[in-house]
Order: sequence, then C-alpha cells, then structure tokens
Amino acid sequence: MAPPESPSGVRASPPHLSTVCFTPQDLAQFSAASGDRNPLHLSEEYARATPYGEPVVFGMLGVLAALGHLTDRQDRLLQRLSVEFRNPLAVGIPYRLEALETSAERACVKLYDATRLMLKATFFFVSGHGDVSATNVREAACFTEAKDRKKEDLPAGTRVTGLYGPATSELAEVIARWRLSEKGITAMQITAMLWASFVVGMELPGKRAVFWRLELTFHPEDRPPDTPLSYDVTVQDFDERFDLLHSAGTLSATDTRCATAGMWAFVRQDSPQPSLHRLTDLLPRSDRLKGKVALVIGGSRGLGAAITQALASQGCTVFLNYHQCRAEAEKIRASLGDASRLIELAQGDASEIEWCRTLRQRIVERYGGLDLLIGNASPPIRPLSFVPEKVAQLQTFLAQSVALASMPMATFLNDLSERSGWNVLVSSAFVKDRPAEWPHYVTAKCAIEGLAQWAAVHSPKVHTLIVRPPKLLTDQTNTTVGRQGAMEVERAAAAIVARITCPESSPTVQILETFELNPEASR
Amino acid sequence: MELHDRLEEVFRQVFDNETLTLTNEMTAPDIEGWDSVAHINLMFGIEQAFGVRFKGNELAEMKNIGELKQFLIGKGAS
Repeated sequence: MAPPESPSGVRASPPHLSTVCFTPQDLAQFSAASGDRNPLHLSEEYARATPYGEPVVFGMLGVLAALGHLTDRQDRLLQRLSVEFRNPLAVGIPYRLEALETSAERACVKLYDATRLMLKATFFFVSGHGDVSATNVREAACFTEAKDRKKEDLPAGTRVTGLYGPATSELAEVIARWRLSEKGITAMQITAMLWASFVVGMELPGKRAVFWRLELTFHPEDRPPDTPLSYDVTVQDFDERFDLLHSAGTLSATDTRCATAGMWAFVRQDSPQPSLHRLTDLLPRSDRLKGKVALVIGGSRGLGAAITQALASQGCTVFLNYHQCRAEAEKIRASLGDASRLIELAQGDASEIEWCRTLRQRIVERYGGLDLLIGNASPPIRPLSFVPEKVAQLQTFLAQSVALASMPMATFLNDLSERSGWNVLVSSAFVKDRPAEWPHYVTAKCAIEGLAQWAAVHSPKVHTLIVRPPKLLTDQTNTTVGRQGAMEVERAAAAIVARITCPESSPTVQILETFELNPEASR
Repeated sequence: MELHDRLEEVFRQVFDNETLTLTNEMTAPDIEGWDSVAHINLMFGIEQAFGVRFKGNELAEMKNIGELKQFLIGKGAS
C-alpha cells in the first residue's frame, strides 16, 4: 500500500533516504560560485588552528544538497527556508539525508552523521513555478578576502552594504551538481542562498564565522532583468554569553527586494597561545635540565608548545617536532628569547619510520643521545558515534594515534634507556571520564597508555610518565562552550616538567593526574 | 499547555527525538546527543519558548530537569 500523494506528486510519507559526501572539488565549486572564500572552508593550514582541525564544508552547501534531495515540484515555488546548522560538516564523510515531505508546501531535510544530527533545513513552498534558467542573474565583482571582525567590532547597529553577484558559469555548475532544477526554486533564489553564505563568511562577522542559523524569505521576482544586486545588512545583537552574532538584511535589485535574511553566526575567538610569562609564574626559570636533550612530538601548538617552552626554560635542548604548522613552531621558538637557541625545529610526520630514523641519526650525531621523549601528537579529533557504520573511522583514528606515539617510542626507547631518560606520554582524563562522543579518543589513549606500560616493563631503566590532563584550552577546545572549564596548557606543562625534574623520581610508571603546583616547591 | 509539556517539546526539537520523555530526575548524560552544540540550542530554545534569559551558562549549573523547571517557575513561566 503506497502512502497518499499530494497534488504535485509529493509523497506525504515515509521519509526518503540517501547519502551525500562532500569533496574538496565541491567546496571549490561552491566558493567560486558564491564568492565566499572564508579560509575555514578552503585552507588546510588555517583550519588546522581551529577547533575543527580540517576544512569545514560550507553550511549552505549542505542546504543545497538537502534541497536537491527533495522530490521535484513543477507547480510550486520556494517562499522561505529555515536552517539550523547543528554541527560542522566535514569533507569525505558520508552523511545520511532524511527528507520528510509532509505536503507539497512543506519539506524538512535532515543530514545525519550516523545518529548525530548535523543540519536541519525546512523549506516552505507556495503555488508557482521555479525555473533555474529563467532568471538572468548578473555577476558582480566582490571582495575576495574575508573581513576579520572581532566581537568588539560588532556592536548592534553595525551596517555593511555592497554589490553582490555570483559567478554565473559556476552557478550553473552548482545547479547541475546538486540537481536543483525542477525543485521549485529559481536561479535568483539560489543566488540569495549563496549571498547569505557570502555575507556571513566574508562580511558579518567574516573570517571568524561559524554559521548557526538562517531564516531566508524570498520576495516576488518582479525586478527588471539584468539589474545589479546590492545588499544592506545590519547587526541586530551580539550575545556576549556565547559570542553569537545576529544580523539581518536584504538583497535587492535597485529598489526591489529580492530576499530578506536573518543570520546567526558564532564569532570564533583568537587561537589560544601558550604564554611564557604565565608559565614562568608557575615554573621559575632554572638550569635544572641543562645538558639534557628532549624531543617533543607535536610541539608547535597547545600543550606540546607549552611543554617545549617549559623544558627550554629549564635549560633543556628541545627538538620541536611539527608536521605542518611551521609558522606556529617558529613563533614558539621566538617566544623564548635568549633560550630560543635551545630549540631545533624538526619538521615531519612522526608516524613515519624513515623520518624517525633520520631524526634519531641527527640527534645522536649532535648530542650523543636523547634524555626525554614527549609523545603529544594526535590526529584531529571530531565527535564520533559508536555505531557499525562509524567503526572504520574509529579504526583509522586509532591507527593514526597509535602510530604517532609508537613510532618515536620504538625508535628512541634504547636511547632513553642508555641515559635513564624519560618516556612521557600525554594521555587524557577522558580515559576515566569516558565521554559519550569520544569512543575513538578514549580507545586510542588507553592503547597508548598500554604501550607505555609495556615499554616500562621491558625497558626498566626508563622513567615512564603518563599524563592525564583534564580538558585543556587549545585550538581544539576553542569554542563557545569548549572554553568553559578548560585548564590552561601552561599549568599542565609546568606540572609535567616539575615532575620530571623532581629529585625523588625513580624508574617506574607514574601517572600525573593533578596539576596543582606550588611555585616554591618547583624552584 | 503545561510547563512540563512545553519543556518536553523544546527538548524533543533540540534533540531530534519525538519520543523523548522528561522526568525531574533526568540529567544531561541521560539524554543522547547532549553535547556542547546541543546545549546552546537547548538554551536558546528554552529562552524563546518561555521568554526567559539565562545568565551566562546558568543552565549547565542546574542539577537536573526538576531544577530547571523550578528555575522557570521562579522566572514566572507556568
């Protein structure tokens, strides 16, 4: 028995399903069409220093995928849409699309990552006809670098205006890619959707945006053909509690309104940088590690960067390993002033055997051996549902995490043994807390701890320190809610180095879980 | 509609779960999908539905659903 059909052939139920997977080419095509060049979506280097760790899919691209998933509507025209961008979409992940078309006038599409709702878009239609080729949309030269507006630059009443026009040949490609013909929409309406992405990603707030919600209403298309489009958008409110910007504005052709939008976006704060000043308040400078040589895997950002600073502040020579963040690595070295001469940059992938062997040769030739190995690197971490279809992702994360810890350990363990050195593994308090969204992370950290315990048994001269910090304030936690309750990396780094330099330390496995420091005790 | 039912409706919308049933003893770990993003969605959903405004991250400090309901009653919601 088939469900009842609406006049335009739209089935009322049940929801129909399919999957969508975004590629880097999809992002490039959308960017070229819309003019939204926000680096969060296009630059791996930029995205790496954000909580997402890798480029994020344009939210509006998810909306277009949702729209293309709907049943054809030859006798309907889109009137408005409402979107909740629940979680950032990533490249290469197969997302499940679930469309519920209760009538020809209303359709709701949800994108899921397994059971996790990522995006919800509701479309409202009226009688009419939407032809994606009928409207002659005019191109306009828009600026190409996203504005970098901080929250203090965004008081209520802040107004931006400008010309807008999509790249028309790329717009046609987007329409074809996402099968947007016969969906009850016009080229002008798709243009307005691209414009909303442009406004949020390039203007208000611009580079720091994380799109949260959109309400977009379309007006009858009675504008003169081939007229340029202009926009006028004003900040309505900035919610300090969550760094949430609410803007509203219009896209018009001369005096005729084409679309009205309400847009909400989080404004990301600056990447947290380790401070040598805060560190030395907790761990005064000394020469206690003078003559020692350390290798910090993943030492350019976050806790790794603070550990690098802490070791150098005690006179230790530090090989700072980074994979791609050269600028951040150089910044950490420069932050040390006179002690910067103690830092040697070591670019490379620590999970690769050849890189580890070459670095070992370099260290042994110059310094005769290694005293401290700090395993701190991790692949980018995104929440993961523990369901069968996500197990492959869990396995990949686990393999990458273990490789980043085990390859350096296997390479340098004998050197550490010769010098009765330290094998320090950065784990996490999550191995005890076990949050629901992090099955892969908890598993990886438990595996790494197990390996460190094994190494301690078979290399008894090596001191082993397993560090379980609580949530730390790093690029990965630098979100509106993530920052709350996060501990400063300097505190964790100071506690680690204080433990290493503690004279009573004996070659056994130690677990560091508390990070209260007495500055007098660490002098 | 009773306060409890209105609150349950907000939770169902935010957590995308039409069968979610609230009890006074429920806490965040009892509700699947209560992550940091859902938390903000929930806060704004409650603010819109009940015309209240949380101070900072007041919601996170509440012990359970019962305490949230008491908070809403204290703010004049019924």
